[in-house]
Amino acid sequence: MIRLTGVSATIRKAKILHDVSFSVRAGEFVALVGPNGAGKTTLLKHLNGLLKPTAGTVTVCGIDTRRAKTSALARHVGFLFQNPDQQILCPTVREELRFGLRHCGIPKETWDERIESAARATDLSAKLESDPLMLTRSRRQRVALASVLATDPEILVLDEPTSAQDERETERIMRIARGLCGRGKTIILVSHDMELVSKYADRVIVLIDGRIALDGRADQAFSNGDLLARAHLSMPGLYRVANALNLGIPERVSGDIDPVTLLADKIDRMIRKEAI
Amino acid sequence: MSATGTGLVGTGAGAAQKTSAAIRHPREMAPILKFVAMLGFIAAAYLTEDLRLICALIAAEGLIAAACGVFRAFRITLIALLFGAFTLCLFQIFSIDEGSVAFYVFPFWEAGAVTDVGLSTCLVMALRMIASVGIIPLTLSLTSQTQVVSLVSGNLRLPGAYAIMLVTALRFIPTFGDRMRMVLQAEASRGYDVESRNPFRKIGVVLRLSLPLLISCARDVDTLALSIETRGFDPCNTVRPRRIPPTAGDAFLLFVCLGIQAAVVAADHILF
Amino acid sequence: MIKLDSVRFRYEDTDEFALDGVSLDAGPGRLICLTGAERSGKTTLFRLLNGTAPRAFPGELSGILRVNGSDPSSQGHMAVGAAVTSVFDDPDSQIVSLTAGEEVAFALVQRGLPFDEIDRRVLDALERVGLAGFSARHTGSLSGGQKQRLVMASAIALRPRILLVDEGTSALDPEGAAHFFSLIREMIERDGTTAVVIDRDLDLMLRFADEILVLDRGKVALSGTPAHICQRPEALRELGLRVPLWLDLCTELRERSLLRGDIPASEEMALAAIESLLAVRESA
Repeated sequence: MIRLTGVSATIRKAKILHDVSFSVRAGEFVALVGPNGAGKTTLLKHLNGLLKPTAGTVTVCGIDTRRAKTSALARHVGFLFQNPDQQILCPTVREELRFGLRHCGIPKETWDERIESAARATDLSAKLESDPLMLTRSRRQRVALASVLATDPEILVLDEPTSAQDERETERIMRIARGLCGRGKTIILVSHDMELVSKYADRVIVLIDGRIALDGRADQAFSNGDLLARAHLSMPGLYRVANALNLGIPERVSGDIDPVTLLADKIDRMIRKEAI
Repeated sequence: MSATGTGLVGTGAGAAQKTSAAIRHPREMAPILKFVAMLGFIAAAYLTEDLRLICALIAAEGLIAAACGVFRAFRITLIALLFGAFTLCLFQIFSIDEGSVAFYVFPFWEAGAVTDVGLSTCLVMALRMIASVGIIPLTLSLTSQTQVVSLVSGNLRLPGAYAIMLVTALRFIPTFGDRMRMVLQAEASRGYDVESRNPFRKIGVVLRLSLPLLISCARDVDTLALSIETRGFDPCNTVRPRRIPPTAGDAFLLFVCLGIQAAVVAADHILF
Repeated sequence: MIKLDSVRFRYEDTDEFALDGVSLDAGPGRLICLTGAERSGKTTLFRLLNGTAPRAFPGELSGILRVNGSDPSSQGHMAVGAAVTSVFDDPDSQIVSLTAGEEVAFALVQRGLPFDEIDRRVLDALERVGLAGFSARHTGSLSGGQKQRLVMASAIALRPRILLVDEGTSALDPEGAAHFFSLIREMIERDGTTAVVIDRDLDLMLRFADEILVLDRGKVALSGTPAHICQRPEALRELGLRVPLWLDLCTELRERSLLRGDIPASEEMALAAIESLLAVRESA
């Protein structure tokens, strides 16, 4: 679905990405993490052609991004920016959702159904005729998300979608993303929130100074204290507590397993001196 | 010459140089003298009729920019002004009938006559615009906010609010540019073709996308106003500006600038 | 320093009360953290405390509101600003100057401080937020996190009696956010500042705050010291807050009768309690 081969990027004479290579299959939920200035957003922008690599290739859904316009790639890659206000320009939510459908060349007869479906998924059905700029910040973010969902791209890129959102909104956006993943969509998430990443992502790519420091399962990244320290990232609570108490945790802790129950069971068994 | 790099003027380092004849970097120069030098360049541009001498003025500005380490920004201004001057020429050139026809824009129909007087007048006008306008952003790039306030409130005795307005406007130019870029990227990501080479389509794109830009700017203006109010800014009260007295070295630099300007004007009137 | 007694506020042309009977009493040298879901009234309270509401945000105010002994709604912005320093949530829309040094100096210049003192405070403030050497840097070239630290430096340089911060850590990484709160604690200890900080990170608030107020639809749903707040994890979750894992774990262990007494008020205390539990069992 996505393949980066030897990608380097230089912006204003500064080399931001150094020989980055990785592939992402359909249906994967990948989190891209790293300190500020590591090149995460720069890397994301290569996925929909906003930036072209100075070396190497980026192939998305079989398309070489160097030879494609961003507007053409929009049909395959939906991009949710951190600030929803930079994209809202229509007088109603419905028009806002139509905007992407129109410009991605989606057949007109499918628009209404797609709009209703996207609005339902983001709980905006009652707000379709509202002025998006009059909505709260979290609803505006949902409008931006709905606008992306309406075009039904194969890949969804989320750039810090939950910053400035409260916990309920954060959970809502992440549940939608996880649901899409279950339907075969590819999710690329950039976030500073390691609790979120550990709960939802299958795979973590740690970027430090424009280079991949680790590309592996979430538990591989989060049990590596040195790496997290180098990347200025906090260890998610589950791993922090488990490390501090010398409790082993299974290799794969998916989002379905409650980490609290997991730890409490272990502690319970240790106290009752059962085998772990 | 070397920059102090602290961004704050009137520190101990500046005070120590007060009585010294050492030439300091134009960034550190007393703002009133920079202002006089700037006015001198503008006056010289309008007092000179000769193309070559106006070009010499522009070259002098370029040399100053290069010596001060801001040539890149000056070059960008120059290119922008060239486009503006060229556009102005296009409108003006056909309205001048004096002189003999140098060429026709549409020779087959002998239409769009451009005379030699028209051509030289427009070129003088264009270069004059570049010389007189180009010096303003160059001077501003070498003048810190503290110096602007010192000049406006201290030397010119105008309300400090004007200085703050000017500085804030300058500070938001790159932000405005960044915001426009972000808006273009967001809409391109939704399939809107912003990469078209068609100039009319490009204009249409920018106009259409101005709305989110204006809205975000309007929100920022409100918050900015509240922020500076809560930090004690009162447009009706002028705060005591920092005094930045000129040094002998500053006077020397001013003398050099005025000398160049006077030489250009004198050469124009005496030689040509 | 800050006293609110049954304060109600309704914005003009709205029916709902943005704040509905909020009371708070904070003396000097205290860090009060305000949190809650969207539209809970946090920003409205922030505006009332710094006098921007109802002045710039018209509305109907009732109840007793005293900041530094006076009602900010009846004072001019200069009088309020003399004691209260505000840090708004978006740093980009607060920065007015071309360079970082001048930005920090801006408010000090408005106050009419001597220029030598201004220069000293500017350099000290930039160093404390980790922006030493950034004095001449153009503000337009700073990253989001650097801008957020810059506005904090502007506040630190002022040495305010009362500091109000609205979501000052949103652009910072976790390390930066913890450092941010440490700086506020330093201001409290050094200058006796009273700080009211709006944030969403309950973990950080439990670590640093003297008192936490959780707002819900304009009312105070929960308030108290971190030790008190920790006893109500379910209530915190219902109010739309993310409960730290160690807090949930201690709650679960207490429900299983493995942990007795109050739920610890910090992660360190929680880990220590569980470790001693395991050690006791091991030695038994």
